Amino acid sequence: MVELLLPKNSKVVKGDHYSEEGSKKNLKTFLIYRYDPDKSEQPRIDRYDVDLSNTGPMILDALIKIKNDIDPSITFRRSCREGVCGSCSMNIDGTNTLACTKYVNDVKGDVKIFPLPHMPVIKDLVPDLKDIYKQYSSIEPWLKTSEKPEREIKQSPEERKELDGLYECIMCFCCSTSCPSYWWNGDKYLGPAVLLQAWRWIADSRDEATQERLDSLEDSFKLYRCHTIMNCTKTCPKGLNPAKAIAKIKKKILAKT
Amino acid sequence: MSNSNKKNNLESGLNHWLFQKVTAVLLIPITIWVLLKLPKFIQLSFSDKLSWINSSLNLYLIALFFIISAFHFKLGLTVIIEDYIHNSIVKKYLIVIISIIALLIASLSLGLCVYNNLGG
Repeated sequence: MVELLLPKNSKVVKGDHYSEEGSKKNLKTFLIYRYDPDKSEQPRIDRYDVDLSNTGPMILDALIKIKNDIDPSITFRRSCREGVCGSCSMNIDGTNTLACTKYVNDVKGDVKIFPLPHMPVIKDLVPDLKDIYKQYSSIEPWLKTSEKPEREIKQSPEERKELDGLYECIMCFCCSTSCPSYWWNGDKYLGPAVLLQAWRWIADSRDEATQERLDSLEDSFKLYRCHTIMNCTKTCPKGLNPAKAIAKIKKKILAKT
Repeated sequence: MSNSNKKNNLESGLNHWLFQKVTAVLLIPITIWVLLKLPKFIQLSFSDKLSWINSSLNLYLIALFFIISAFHFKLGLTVIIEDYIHNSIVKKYLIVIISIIALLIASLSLGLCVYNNLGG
């Protein structure tokens, strides 16, 4: 049933205010979601006034500065700091994106940072992705062939081109967690990120399990919960188009029936 | 993850999706026709309204409009209920209720056509 009352930990309270000592010239305010499910405290929004004079230009640079110099307790994932690992995906200024490729200067006013929406929170900006990884493994994201070839399986340039816009996905899940349909039915609907990956293997000329893959997706929840809301495509930090990939799966299922 | 909803019936994701698109496309011309006719129809007297409806073409088109709309309404509302109602019993009953409403609208329209054809 529609839940009219929100759980207790959905109420976010005002948190602490940290101000960096020293220069007050290049100050920017960061409002950051803090929550530790292991403690009985409500989630809170901590406020950090950060001097950006000696930091890099990205949100991630500022987060690292906050962790190093102001508040070491703040928790977030990061790794490559150049938009290829997908670790630092979070909700910045109301949009899911990568902290490492988002410029601080692109945000007008205070920078509001939350974890990816509608996912269980492990701590602060770290969402629990175990269910979404399970969904990813359910589409069997590997090449399936009937025989083990001696050498690499060749593709024509046209066949290879089919994978452009798909292989670039870094699995940051900005798209899935921006999708209202995934928010309401994330346990059954696979979501844009996983469906884009599903299409990546269906579209691969070397893969021989196309029909099997399509059959497993032909389900009113796994695939057809996509209502072409397009938040996925709008938010993708890599500029990919998961909505188009989903539409292609639907068309392929129709053509194969 | 659900692996239910086997193919070849209305529960299948493909059929549901396909019928929804097909009924939507069919509704475009027929809705335009209804909207064009409606302003004049409203101004007619009751007996003129009856005789307008009783002309074969008008009757069939109106019946078609209601039958396709009922089907489209049933498919669309089912999706909305499945999206937002997570209690499986409530969900099941709501879908049955809207299916009955849609079936009533469609069968009444069809019945009217048959009745008219028999010279009623």
